[in-house]
Amino acid sequence: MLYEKIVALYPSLTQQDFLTVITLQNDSDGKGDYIAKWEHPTLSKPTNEELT
Amino acid sequence: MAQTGFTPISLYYTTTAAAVPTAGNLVAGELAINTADGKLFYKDSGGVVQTLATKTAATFPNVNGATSGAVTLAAPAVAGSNTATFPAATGTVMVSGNMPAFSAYRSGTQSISNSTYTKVQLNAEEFDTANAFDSTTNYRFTPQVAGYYQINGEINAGGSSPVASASAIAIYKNGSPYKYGVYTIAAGANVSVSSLVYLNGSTDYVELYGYLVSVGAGFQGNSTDTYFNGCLVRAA
Repeated sequence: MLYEKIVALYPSLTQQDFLTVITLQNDSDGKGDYIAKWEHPTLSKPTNEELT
Repeated sequence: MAQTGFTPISLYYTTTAAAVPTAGNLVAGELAINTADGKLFYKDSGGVVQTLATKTAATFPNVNGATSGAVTLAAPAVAGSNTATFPAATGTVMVSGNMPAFSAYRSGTQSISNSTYTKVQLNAEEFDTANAFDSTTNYRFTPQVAGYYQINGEINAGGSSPVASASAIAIYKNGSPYKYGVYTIAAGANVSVSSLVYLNGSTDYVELYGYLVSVGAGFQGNSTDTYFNGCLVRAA
């Protein structure tokens, strides 16, 4: 799952981060979870390689 | 010209366009006609010449363009007790037939990923008056009447075990967040969102997204806890 992978990569992230500066989304279209928004002030958006 | 053997009955008349009889031309109750204009006059009991009829179409009511159907303007049940006033403004009179309304809900638990805004698959309908809600593929409301819609949604976080410890909800417009509900930290809670949304009557659509904090959580599947509804409240 995408959330668990991101938290494993950045353990400092909080639930508040996922409600404000990061949005994970699933459009229920069979394409799965994806990062719809990443505006974290210090942590960079994970690459596809980091998430696989 | 009268039929042979009959004497014609002719009103006091003129063939001059725009000519109107004066009060002195008529006695009370007498008719007069302008054959050029097609207007019929009479003198009332107050001594005033009144226009009784005209050959041109009345300006009110003015109903144009209809080739079928019915237009009914019902008189008040008691004279003077009821009025229908049309303001001096440009717009479209809305009736139930062109005011879309829908109510959809989730049937069966929908499992979702932890902390991920997920479109609620609203796969059942209570009503959908304009067939504008897609409950089979995209789970969205796309009305074909432009205007301002009251949109409401709710999810319940207790669809799976363990139930979610916190939840959030949002109305999405055209694929992007439009209005968020209140983030609620409570196990298995109901959260809701409500807003007025302008939809252009062709391509604009709204969807319901939910967010649950838990591994293995899901939206509760029933019409009372996980639903999405709305209706047109004002035309564009």
